[in-house]
Amino acid sequence: MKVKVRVKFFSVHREVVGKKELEIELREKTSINEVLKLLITDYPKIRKLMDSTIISLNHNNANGSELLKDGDEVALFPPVGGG
Amino acid sequence: MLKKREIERYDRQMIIPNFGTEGQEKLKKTKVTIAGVGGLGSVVSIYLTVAGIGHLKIIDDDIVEISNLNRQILHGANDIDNSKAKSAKEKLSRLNPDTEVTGVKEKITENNVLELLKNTDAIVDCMDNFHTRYLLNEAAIKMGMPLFHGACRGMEGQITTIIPGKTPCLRCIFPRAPPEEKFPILGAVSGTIGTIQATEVIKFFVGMEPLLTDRLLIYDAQFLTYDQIEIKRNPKCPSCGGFNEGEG
Repeated sequence: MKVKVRVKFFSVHREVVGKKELEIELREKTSINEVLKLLITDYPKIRKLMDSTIISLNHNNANGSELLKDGDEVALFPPVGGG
Repeated sequence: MLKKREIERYDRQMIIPNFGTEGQEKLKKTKVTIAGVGGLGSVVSIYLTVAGIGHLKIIDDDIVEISNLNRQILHGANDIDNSKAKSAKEKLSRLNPDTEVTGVKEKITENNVLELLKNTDAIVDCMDNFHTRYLLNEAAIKMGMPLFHGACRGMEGQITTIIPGKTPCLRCIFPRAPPEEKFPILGAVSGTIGTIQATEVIKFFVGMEPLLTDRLLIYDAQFLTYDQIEIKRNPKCPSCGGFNEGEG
C-alpha cells in the first residue's frame, strides 16, 4: 500500500529544490526523517540547511519521527534572519 | 487623560470595537523599545508612532548607507552617513509630537542589553542577525516582557509574539541560527512583516485577542500565502526551559 504526501519548501530550501512543493509517493509507515533522507539524496545541498530548519506536519511542529499517512503535508521552514 | 487633539487624532481607531478611549489611554502609557531601525524597524516605528504609543526607544548603532534605501523607509538620500537612530527620531517626532521618541546609537551586547531595555514595557525585534535576536530573547525572559519577533529574507518573512513563561520563546522555535549571509530583501515584504509586528504590539497593549502566540506565521509574498505552524514550548530549552510566568 502506497501513500502520497506533499512536501512544501520555503526560502533557501525552495531555491535548492527549485520548486515550491513536491508530491512524493511512499510506502506505508514511512517517517518524516526517512523522507528527509530521500530529499538529501536528490538534493544534497539540503543537508547543511537541515540543522536550523523547522519541520511541520499538517501545520504542527514535528520532530521527524512521525509516520506519514496518505494526504499528509510536510513543510520545511528554514529560519530567516533579515530585517 | 487624552488631550483634545489626541481624541480627534485617534478617533478612527478608537471606534474599533474593543479599542475605545481606554485602549488609547493604555497605548499612551506604554513604552516600547524597537531594536533595529532598518527595513522592519522603520515600518514598526512609523505605525506605533502614528497610533499614539506614549514612548518609543529606538536602538540602532548603524549609519544610513545607500544600499539600505530600498527598504528602510524612515531614511532618505539626505540621511546617508548619518546615524539611523537620529534619522528615525527626527522623522518620527515630525509624524506625531505626542509620541516621545528616544534614539540610542549603541550596539546591543550581552553587557548592555538589560540596561538598554530598562523602563520599557515591550521589545520589538527588528534586528538583522540572530545573535542579537537571541540576546533580546534572553533579556525578555529575564525581564518578563513581551517580545514581538519578525524577520524576512527575499520574498518571505516570519512573525511570532512571545510572552515569556507562557509561550514558546525564540530559542524554543529556532534552537539554531541560520547561517549569516548577505540576505536578499524587498522593502514591500519587510513592510508587510513590520506592519504585522506593529499590529501585534497595539493589540497586546489595548487587550485585543487572539495574539500571534504559540504559532509561527510564514508569509510568502511570491505565492501570496500565509502558513502557520503551531509551536510548543521546549521544556529543555536552554533559554526559557523551566521558567514560568510570574516567577521572573
